[in-house]
Amino acid sequence: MSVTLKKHVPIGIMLILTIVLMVEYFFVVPDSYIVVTNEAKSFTVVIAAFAMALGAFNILQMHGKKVVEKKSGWKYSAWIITVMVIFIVVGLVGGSKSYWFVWLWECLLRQPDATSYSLIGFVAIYSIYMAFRIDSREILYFTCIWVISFAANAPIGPLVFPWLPGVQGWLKMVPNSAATRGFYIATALSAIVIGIRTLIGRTRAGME
Amino acid sequence: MANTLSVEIGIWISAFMILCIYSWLYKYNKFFKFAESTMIGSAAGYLFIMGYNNIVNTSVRAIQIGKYWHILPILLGVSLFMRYVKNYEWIQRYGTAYLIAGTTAIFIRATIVTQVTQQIAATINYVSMATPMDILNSIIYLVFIVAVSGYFLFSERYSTKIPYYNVINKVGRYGFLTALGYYLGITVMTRIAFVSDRLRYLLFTWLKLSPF
Amino acid sequence: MSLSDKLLNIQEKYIYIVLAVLLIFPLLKPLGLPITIEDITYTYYEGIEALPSDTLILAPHDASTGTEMEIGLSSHIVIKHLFRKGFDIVFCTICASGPPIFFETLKAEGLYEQFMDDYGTKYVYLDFIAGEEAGAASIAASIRVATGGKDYFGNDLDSLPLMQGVDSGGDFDVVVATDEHSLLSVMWMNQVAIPYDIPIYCNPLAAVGSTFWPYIDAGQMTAMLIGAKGAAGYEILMNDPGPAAANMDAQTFVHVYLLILVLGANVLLGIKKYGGVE
Repeated sequence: MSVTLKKHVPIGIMLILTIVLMVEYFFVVPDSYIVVTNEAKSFTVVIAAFAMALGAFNILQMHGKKVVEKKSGWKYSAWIITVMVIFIVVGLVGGSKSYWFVWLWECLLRQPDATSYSLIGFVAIYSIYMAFRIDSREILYFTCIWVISFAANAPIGPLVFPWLPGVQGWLKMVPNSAATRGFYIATALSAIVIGIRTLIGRTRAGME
Repeated sequence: MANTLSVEIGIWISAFMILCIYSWLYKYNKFFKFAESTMIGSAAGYLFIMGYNNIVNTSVRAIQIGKYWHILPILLGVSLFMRYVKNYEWIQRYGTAYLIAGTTAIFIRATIVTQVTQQIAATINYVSMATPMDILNSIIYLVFIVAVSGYFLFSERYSTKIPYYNVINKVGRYGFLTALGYYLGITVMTRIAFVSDRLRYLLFTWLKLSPF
Repeated sequence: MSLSDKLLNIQEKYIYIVLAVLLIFPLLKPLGLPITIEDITYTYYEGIEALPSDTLILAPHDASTGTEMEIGLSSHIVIKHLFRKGFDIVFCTICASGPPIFFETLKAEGLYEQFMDDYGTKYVYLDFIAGEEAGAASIAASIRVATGGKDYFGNDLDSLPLMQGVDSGGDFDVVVATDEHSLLSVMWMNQVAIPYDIPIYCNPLAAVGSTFWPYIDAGQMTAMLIGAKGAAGYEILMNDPGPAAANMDAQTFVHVYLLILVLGANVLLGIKKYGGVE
């Protein structure tokens, strides 16, 4: 009974839901069936929303423990929890559309988040400068492709070298498109296999 | 008046945060750690509120108008939190199972069509013998697709089972290098646009400079 | 350390400082360097231009704080174009940061008053739907079930004239993903455009757009605006040069800078290896 509840029922839920959603997509089904699957999909949305809220609890547990035990960096953990609580209180009291909630989001999340993404720009330039040192045939090939693509993508590139867009266009539509398509097919087949393995319980991802 | 003041204070706080993040370029320091901690707390709080709103707007509202079966996703969602209750962690498998099944099934059924069958059909449609250039392009196209697919699908343990494995591996590697080289050539523009946007904020919004 | 060694191992801080100067200079002193417009940008523009005025558009605006810096450039100009053409548009988002960025975009382009004046008759904004692809699938299946029957402002969808008889992806004529975080437009393609056989236009990051060519080639996506360059070209086609076009000077400078760094380093390496020069 215990094993059934703990292991077999969740796997059963996965199997049944998968079959229901697959049948809807690949077969002609009555309208009443579609009503059921529409609700099933909206249930997924609601559970995903709970998973979003779960992040806050995870932060509370992880960083709360650090604060209570006064481990190294506990002051930063205390600040994380403080900011999180401020956001939640302002959001619950005023609503997510309120002026102050959006103001907090703008100052404390949007601007620093955007800036941390932009750090990659600096690091990328330096990394490319250090990494593209031709010492093998593969790096030579790779660098040649990169130079053509990079120079053609520069706003002024096609004006300085009029033949560049033609070469880049061929590169884009033939070898690049073919390789990317091969990559998509391979990853799609792999993802399908991994998905099926998860759904029939052969892997334990998220089910520990 | 309060609005203008809060906007102005907001700009100064934002600029401080941006400079804290950029201080990492010099070295990892307390200002960066402070900004990083602020971001983590903000993201957690913001996502909590957006998730909460979504739950209230869909399931809670549905229950209020008589769709009582919407108690089910609420129960399954709450079960996710059972991971924090000792001896009852297994209950979270119910919510996780539904979430995994829902998202995976939706993803797989579309992927079979869009990423596999339609892509293969497009490949067949691409093949053309109209001109010598078309023939060359078709050959390169087919060779790269098969080689790159094989490169990703078949690992080292298939080296003795698949004929011409080394050739497929090598051609696949060059095919992937082509795609990666092309991709990297384009991606720098994205990274520079990010930096440019941040500098524009600092110069024009914070320091209130204007182009001359 | 010889000069060639120093040039081959320039410290990070000097690279960063030169990069910052090359970005700041064209922002403060725009040079108006020429810009080339890609064919796919023409395809996108002409595609939108050719749509009849009574087209009903599903416009996912999936803005995220991390990618808005580049995609915001194209989303601003595309939304402006859609408003200028007078289409009926249902906006939605599966990205948590979508709503505040969407309204900021409208205000920045001076479209907020028009949006609110014609709200319900020409424009509707559905609230954020969690779950990414599951959210897109839910909207495609039934908007009323996905949103609980209400829009972002809490209005009953059945009370809005624009939403009469509109409930699923098949009720729309075109999908225009006006803003796109990472690969979300592929999700809209998978869940709405391909199952219901309707065209989809998207504006991905330049980095991501380079991987979308198989979809364009297969006819799964109609057109795309690739990153900042696509946005700049679109602004020129709209006769409305703005931040994207201004950004191109900085892009040109940095592209030349990086080419000099990489090619220069390799030439030096070659001379060192084969020329026997220190």
